[in-house]
Amino acid sequence: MEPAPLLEALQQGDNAAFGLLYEQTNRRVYNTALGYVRNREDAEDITQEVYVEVFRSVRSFTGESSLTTWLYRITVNKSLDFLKRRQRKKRFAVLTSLFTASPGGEQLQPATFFHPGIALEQQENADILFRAIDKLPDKQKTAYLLTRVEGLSHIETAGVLNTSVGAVESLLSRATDNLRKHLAGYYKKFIEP
Amino acid sequence: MKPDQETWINTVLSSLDDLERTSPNPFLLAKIRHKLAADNGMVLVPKRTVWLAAATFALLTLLNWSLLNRPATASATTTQASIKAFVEDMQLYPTVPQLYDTWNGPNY
Repeated sequence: MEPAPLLEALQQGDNAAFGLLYEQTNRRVYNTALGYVRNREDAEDITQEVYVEVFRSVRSFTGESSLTTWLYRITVNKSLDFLKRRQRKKRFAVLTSLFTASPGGEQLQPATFFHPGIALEQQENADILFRAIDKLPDKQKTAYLLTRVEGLSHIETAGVLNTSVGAVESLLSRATDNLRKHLAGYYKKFIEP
Repeated sequence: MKPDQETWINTVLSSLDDLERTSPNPFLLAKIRHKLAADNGMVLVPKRTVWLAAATFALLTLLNWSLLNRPATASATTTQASIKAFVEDMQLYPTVPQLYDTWNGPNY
């Protein structure tokens, strides 16, 4: 189905159109969320939240951007919200662990993450890189994940971030510099000695 | 920066180059449909209505509280004064002689 009729059908509450949109886009949404949260179950929860949001608010979608861009925007926002919630929980767990015998924030720290879409020999390096990406500021993280992990062009990323292509290039340059710094620190700490 | 370190960093940075998109749980769509169906049965009240109701309730509580805490003497005096004025206006004096304290008020 073409994007315009699909949008019309979605706005009329057509269940088949919703299923078709899901079939066409679920891998994009899931993989974007997976890049942020590095956990399959959490990424599925975010994917669920994204499609529920799409179903509820598609009537108010005016089509000023493409449906895919809009979907990516919702995914990015939901993923960042999830990370904030997780950070809050972690702080609270650390605080409560001061008064109880529970282990605290370590429980909420994601364990070693093996991305299912990465070749086996690259899994360890990819895990190190995802940990470094996690430390980037939100905008740099989003620009990096959308271009390097999702493979979007700079123009598409600019559309999702609602900014200019120049700004995206600047974000990517700063993100790469920061990643190099993080990785250099990791190398000195764990690889070199 | 040492050449080994530079090589390692470049290897790590390129580890996502051949990443392939993966699919979520095949039952996720069914789960989403179930959630949407469950949510449709629920009646959602707009936030504005909830705030209006809460504000109205708070206002009513405040008014009741202020009425209950108003000094009783002031209202009693007002009531007595209005009864006296009403009695005088309507000339509602007792026809049957009644015993009054001679030193405390008129003896009709």
